[in-house]
Amino acid sequence: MSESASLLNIQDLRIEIAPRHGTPRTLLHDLTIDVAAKEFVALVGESGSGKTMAARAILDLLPPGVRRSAGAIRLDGQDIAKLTLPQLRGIRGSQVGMVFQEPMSSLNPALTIGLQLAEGLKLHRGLRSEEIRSKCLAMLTQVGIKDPERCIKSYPHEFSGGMRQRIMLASVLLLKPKLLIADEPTTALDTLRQREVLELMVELARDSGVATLLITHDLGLVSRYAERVFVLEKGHLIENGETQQVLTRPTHSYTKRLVESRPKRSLTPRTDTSQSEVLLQIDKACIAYSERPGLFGTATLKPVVHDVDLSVRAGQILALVGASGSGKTTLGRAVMGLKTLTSGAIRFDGKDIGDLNTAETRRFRAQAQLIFQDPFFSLDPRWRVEDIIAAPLRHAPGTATAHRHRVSEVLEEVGLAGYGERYPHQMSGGQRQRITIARAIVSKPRLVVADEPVSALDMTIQAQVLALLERLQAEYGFACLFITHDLAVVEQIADQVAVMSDGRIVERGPTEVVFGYPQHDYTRALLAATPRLPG
Amino acid sequence: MRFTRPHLRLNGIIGCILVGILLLTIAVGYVWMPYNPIAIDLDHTLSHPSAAHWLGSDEFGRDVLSRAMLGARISTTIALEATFGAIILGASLGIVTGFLRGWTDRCLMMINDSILALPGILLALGLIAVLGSGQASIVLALTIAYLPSVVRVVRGAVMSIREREYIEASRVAGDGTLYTMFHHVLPNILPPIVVLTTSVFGWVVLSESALSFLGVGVPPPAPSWGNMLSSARPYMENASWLSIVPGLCIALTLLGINFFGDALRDLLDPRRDA
Repeated sequence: MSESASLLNIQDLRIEIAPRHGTPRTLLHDLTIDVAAKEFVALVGESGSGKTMAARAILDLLPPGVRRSAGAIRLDGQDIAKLTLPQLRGIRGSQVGMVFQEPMSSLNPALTIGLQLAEGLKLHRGLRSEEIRSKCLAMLTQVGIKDPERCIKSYPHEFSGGMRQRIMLASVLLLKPKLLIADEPTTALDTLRQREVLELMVELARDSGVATLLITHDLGLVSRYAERVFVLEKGHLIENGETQQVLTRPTHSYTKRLVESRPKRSLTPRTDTSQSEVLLQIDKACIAYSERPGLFGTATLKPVVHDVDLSVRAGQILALVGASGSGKTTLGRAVMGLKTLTSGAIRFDGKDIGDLNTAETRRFRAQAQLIFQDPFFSLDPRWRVEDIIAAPLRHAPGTATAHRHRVSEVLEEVGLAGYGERYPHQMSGGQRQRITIARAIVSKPRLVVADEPVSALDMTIQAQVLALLERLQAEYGFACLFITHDLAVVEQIADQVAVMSDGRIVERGPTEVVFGYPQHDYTRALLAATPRLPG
Repeated sequence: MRFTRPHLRLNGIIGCILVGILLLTIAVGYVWMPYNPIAIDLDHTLSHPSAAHWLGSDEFGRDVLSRAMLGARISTTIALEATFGAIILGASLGIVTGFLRGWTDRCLMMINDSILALPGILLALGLIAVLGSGQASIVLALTIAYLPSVVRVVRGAVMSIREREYIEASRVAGDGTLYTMFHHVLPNILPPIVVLTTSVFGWVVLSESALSFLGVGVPPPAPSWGNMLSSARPYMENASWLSIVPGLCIALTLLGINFFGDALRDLLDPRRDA
């Protein structure tokens, strides 16, 4: 591709962080990328690989303390560094649009959607308000908002994550930019929404001739949508080329690892648990939240879980799959006794956990543990790692020495030997998730509820943590209620699958059967939306 | 709580120096003062600052430096007692009400808010009128006056912590409510409490001076910065040092304690070096 034809041309870009105290550290080494007009290009890398910094540099939006130390960024042949601030502002939004990762915080909660959409048009195009209005309505219709008239009068909190991301997309594309930068636009969404939003983005970009730079860590998405791909590792561009070629014949060892770390069915045969005793029995469980009434209204009950029947046998891994808002997390919390049922019963080992006495509660707590989704919130920042892991042992029998011994044993098992003295903030995301796993297994529980245990982690780390969980499960033989929205993960580890939609279980059965012969429409849609690698 | 390499900024250094000077002055005051701070010397009334009286003397010939030194001791002691009273009581109430929520919260906060509706100084004035003047009643009045705002701030901090997953993790581990409150909630709201302590101390110093200025503070002849200011008022034109000295003392103490609080807040964050 000749340089003159490219829309965006990044040449030997180097970005470094220069803290007030200490020496500068290079975040991005000599990155060279070019994007032709109307092309769909992906920039792939894990967190900390510098991909977001590269994107921000294009619009000169680097955070304070981070600066570009070498290289040039040309947009349409124009060097960004030579532009004055007013010129740069003219480019932001109007020539280059950006969609951010977090739809919950990228729209201003205090302004109506209409005002926020109009902002860019007023600033860059100087249109009259009737024109702006009609353009906004047309754009909202295009991104699939059903009632655009009402939408422009609404506030962001009235929309779900997927809807907000559509609105974000509308506000960016409204200005008809030449380049769209999408920084992990669907990471915060579940599989179905992810597919819808991305499909929409690709379609709209193609229709209006917008080049797209997709920044992601998900190779499945890349293989499905991108024409060319650039792979970043620790600030170095290690591989680039046509998507098919890079993903099917990766040359660099890191890319190979990345491709291989996609979850796949493990080959070791799992022990047959279909005849073992039933450990957890959920009978007609209903959970409803009382919705906060208005100033004078009465509280109404909003049901989140309807009549769920489910059982987990000892040593079995049951995956509970569903989109966000399907009630799967609530059900998981109820199993742990953290939420009370509106009606129905949850029996652990034959006993209803709703009416346990103090001693029985203590025994139940030791036998049922929870692994949390986000390791950044589930560890007390003021406790040391070994104290965090030891917490469930506080109520267990045994001497303090025995407990300490057990903690160091578990630390070793999760591959964190010698890290006991540290604090959570000194550990990486993957290490933190190992801590939560260690905490869950330290008391040798018979049931572990894992609530999206890997969805906050990078691909390669995800594979490691899943492998660890699988190994520990085989070793300890605990039953596991594995809550997730990622079907690829389910395929790798679960014996049984239960698919949940709108608070109901719509399908359940052995993993092979559900994946091979899905019966319910929702399961089929979910399977179709799961991104896969070719070959 | 760990203290790692402190990057003290300029205001932190200034704060430490000012607080250091205050503490040093009080310490020196216990062993040595230029004159007896309440001894009347009618031969040398309203004398200018000189070698004999470094900061001059007042309308009864009492040495201003000695009075300011004793005033520092009295004001600081009252402020410290009232601050710790308000913080310890307020933090306990704030943790309980913020963590338990429900009816406990509603009842406690109703009482709290009705106290909060009255201006602190007015409340203190009323309480002293009931309790009678004296150091103990000033401490009690100031404690009660500042308690509600401490409860409010601590409750807010607790409410943001109680939704964290590690609190849930503590429940999963089988811990009781009291254990969770003291081992997970308290350590995590300690930094805001420490910073709050310094600002409450500042407010209390100011309120104590105001009470003394209004004549309901420590009973004369004992000096406090507030009653020194008050008695200096008639002589503002020909003996300006009489009002400048206690005024400066109050201003510098407040400045020092606020800067000190900022520096403490930076030091107490465990994620500072992350």
